[in-house]
Amino acid sequence: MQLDVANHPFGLAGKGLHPLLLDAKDAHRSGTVSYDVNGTLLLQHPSVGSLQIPPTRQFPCVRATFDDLNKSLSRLANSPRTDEGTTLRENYENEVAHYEGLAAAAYAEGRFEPDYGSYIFDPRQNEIFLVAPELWHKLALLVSNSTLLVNPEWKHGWRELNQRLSTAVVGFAGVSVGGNVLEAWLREARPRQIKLADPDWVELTNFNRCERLSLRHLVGSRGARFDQRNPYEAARISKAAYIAYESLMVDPYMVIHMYDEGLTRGNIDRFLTGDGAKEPKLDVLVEEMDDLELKVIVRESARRHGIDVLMLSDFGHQAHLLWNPFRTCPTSRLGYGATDENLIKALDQAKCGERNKVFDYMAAFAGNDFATDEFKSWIEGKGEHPTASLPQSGSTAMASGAIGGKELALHVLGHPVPKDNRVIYDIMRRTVREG
Amino acid sequence: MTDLLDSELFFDCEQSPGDLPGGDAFLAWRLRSLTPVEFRGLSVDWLSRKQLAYLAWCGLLAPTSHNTVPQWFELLPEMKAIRVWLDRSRVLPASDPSGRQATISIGCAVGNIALASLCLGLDVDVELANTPLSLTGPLSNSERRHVPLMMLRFREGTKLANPIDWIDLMRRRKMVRAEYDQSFQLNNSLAEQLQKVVGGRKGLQLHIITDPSALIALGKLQELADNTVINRVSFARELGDWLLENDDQSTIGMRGREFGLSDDAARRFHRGFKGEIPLFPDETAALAKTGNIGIRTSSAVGIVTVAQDDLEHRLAAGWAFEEVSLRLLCEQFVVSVHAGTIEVEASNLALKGHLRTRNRPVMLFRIGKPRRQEDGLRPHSSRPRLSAQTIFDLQSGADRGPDSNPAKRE
Repeated sequence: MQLDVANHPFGLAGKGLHPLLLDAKDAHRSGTVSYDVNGTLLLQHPSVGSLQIPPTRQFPCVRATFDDLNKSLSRLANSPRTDEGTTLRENYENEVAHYEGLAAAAYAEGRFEPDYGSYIFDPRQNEIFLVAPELWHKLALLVSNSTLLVNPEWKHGWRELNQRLSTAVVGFAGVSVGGNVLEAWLREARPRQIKLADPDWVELTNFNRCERLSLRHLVGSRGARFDQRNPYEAARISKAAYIAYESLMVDPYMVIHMYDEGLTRGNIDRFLTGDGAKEPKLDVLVEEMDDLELKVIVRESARRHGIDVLMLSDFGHQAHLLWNPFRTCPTSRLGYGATDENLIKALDQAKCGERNKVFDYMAAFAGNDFATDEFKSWIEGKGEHPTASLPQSGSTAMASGAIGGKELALHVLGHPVPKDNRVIYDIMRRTVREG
Repeated sequence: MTDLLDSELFFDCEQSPGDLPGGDAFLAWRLRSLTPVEFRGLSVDWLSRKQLAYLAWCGLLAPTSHNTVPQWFELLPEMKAIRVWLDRSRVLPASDPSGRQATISIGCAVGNIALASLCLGLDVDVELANTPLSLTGPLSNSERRHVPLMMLRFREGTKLANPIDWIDLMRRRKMVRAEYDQSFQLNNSLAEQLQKVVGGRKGLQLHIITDPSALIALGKLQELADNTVINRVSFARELGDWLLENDDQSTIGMRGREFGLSDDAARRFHRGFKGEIPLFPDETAALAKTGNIGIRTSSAVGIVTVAQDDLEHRLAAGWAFEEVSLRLLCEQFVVSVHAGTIEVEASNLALKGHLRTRNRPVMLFRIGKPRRQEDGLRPHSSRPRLSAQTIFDLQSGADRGPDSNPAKRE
């Protein structure tokens, strides 16, 4: 018996956004991708059925990728060495020669593309992209970072450092400000895989602070409506799905473990420790949820499993960075401003509907100095209140993301956590305070 | 007459479970679950006024919108019947302008009486009064305060071998407006059984939503609807009248503790919604958010839709819901009703789209088990005595009674 009505648009929010990744050689040989004489691409795949994609919706990106790398990769002596002793530039030259040989042959045979790279089909736009193999695509995404990120001892080479960054597994619970931290982490590390959890949908009021949001992600199409004339039917898009989609449209090779139901008491342990098969254990959890109780529960679990937790909080004009270094300090407490016992007491009191008790809990969690300036005035009820939610400055939220991404990269490379695990970046006063 | 209606024989005042406060306002929950023999032993005559009063007490235990208890009873021993009336002064103009929730509440009361009859070996014939739907809305000046909605006529019935003790379930049932435990699942066979209970009534359908993504979306929809109404001054004032302080002695209305509010928070929301003190926008938003969290943590959400939004279908929806909630209680599940999504027209239209139906959703309730044991032990809501809810003589002026708003009483 089917309990739920099939194809609820609200049950599928964001699902179907995930881009399809196809190895070009396999796709050509299996007939998943073929072209007619006019260049219209025929995509035949169980997820889309049979779909014709005109040339105006096809984007061959391989040539541009190699052109862009050509500009960036140096041929000089300090070009990083590979395991085989060749330089990165030499490897690049070899790869380009290989690609150009295949491309020339395909062109001579009247084929549209050689068996090279990967097709990325974007189901949101019905567009298809052909991108370079993973190594070269990711290299282009990373190369500009150069050697700005090193380990504290400056011992390791560029390749090894990138290896450490790309193999680290970071999970993001809550992807509003957490999405900004994710964005910065991706730009620094280009990890092989990440985990995302958020139960909410995208709201236009999130657009002041969330990376890569646009009208594309506000609502589903009219086609998702049961009654296409019903103006009240608005299929909404899962935040986790939108950010996964946007991230995959940059790096389609990344593996994303999605929890679009958000973290729950039932899935926290799996999110943290993996499933023992394809889903790995986290190295670091970035916790950015607004559920007061889950913030404690997930930390208790992370502490049990020895997983470090990072939180960036945008309090008015301040970005507060807080580490729970459970891996190296398994007895460290859950919050910054109180003992575990007092934090849990404050949590219990915060559930009784009294507004001031919620802020007492926030102080127990983030420290008594979490609120200053206009943000403090808002808490005290001074002045006008145009919003019913906690006020969030767009730029502070973006700065929090940038700080968090850098902090993650430094952490993965072995840099120590800050004094007393906390840093306050005061953007208004232009100061930074540790501890 | 009052002694007869509120007979001590009906109650077991010795019992004091943890969720049952003392005092007259909670007497209803001490109702004994009588056996057929005990029921017959209430009087020499078969279906006396006293026996009908006992059945009406069962009707008083039914859940009602904002705990307005709009059901009034006319006991008709000469006809072996109870006529159930709607007190229109308890139909809430801001939150229930069409009277839909009030008439559904009457359906719940009728359902309780019918199920209690089953336990007591009675069969019931139900007759819909010819009151037009337009007379079931909020009371306006010079209109009749009470309107009849249903007549229940009782007959000797067949004795069931192993009847469900519906009356015991009725007195244990309560709204549990708390976060539920997501790990409990509603099994398919129970869900099918519930759908048959509702679907067995012509024009009614029960949609059961269990998919986590759909529950999240429903939670958001409910939060949106609650935010919409809380921001309407008329609704907020009305809510303030009915959301009472925890130590309030009213026999109607909801105390803050039923929502998990502390004494201070209950007082603050009561006074704040009434406009006596300012509330912060984030406070009311947080209150709306609790409904969202409640829904998303539920085992399932049930939505009753009707082919026609008329009196007959509304009453049937209430009756069916009451049986569903009692059957769920048999399996240790509790429920909480959320009317916001139903009564905010925009949310209702959105819900119809989500459900892929052209029928109107008239009830939305969540199903689950409280995550925290103490939440399951929150006190029952209050109830008036039957003598305060009985129609004696419409010609005597009782039909022009005072406004029943608990906040306006002496």
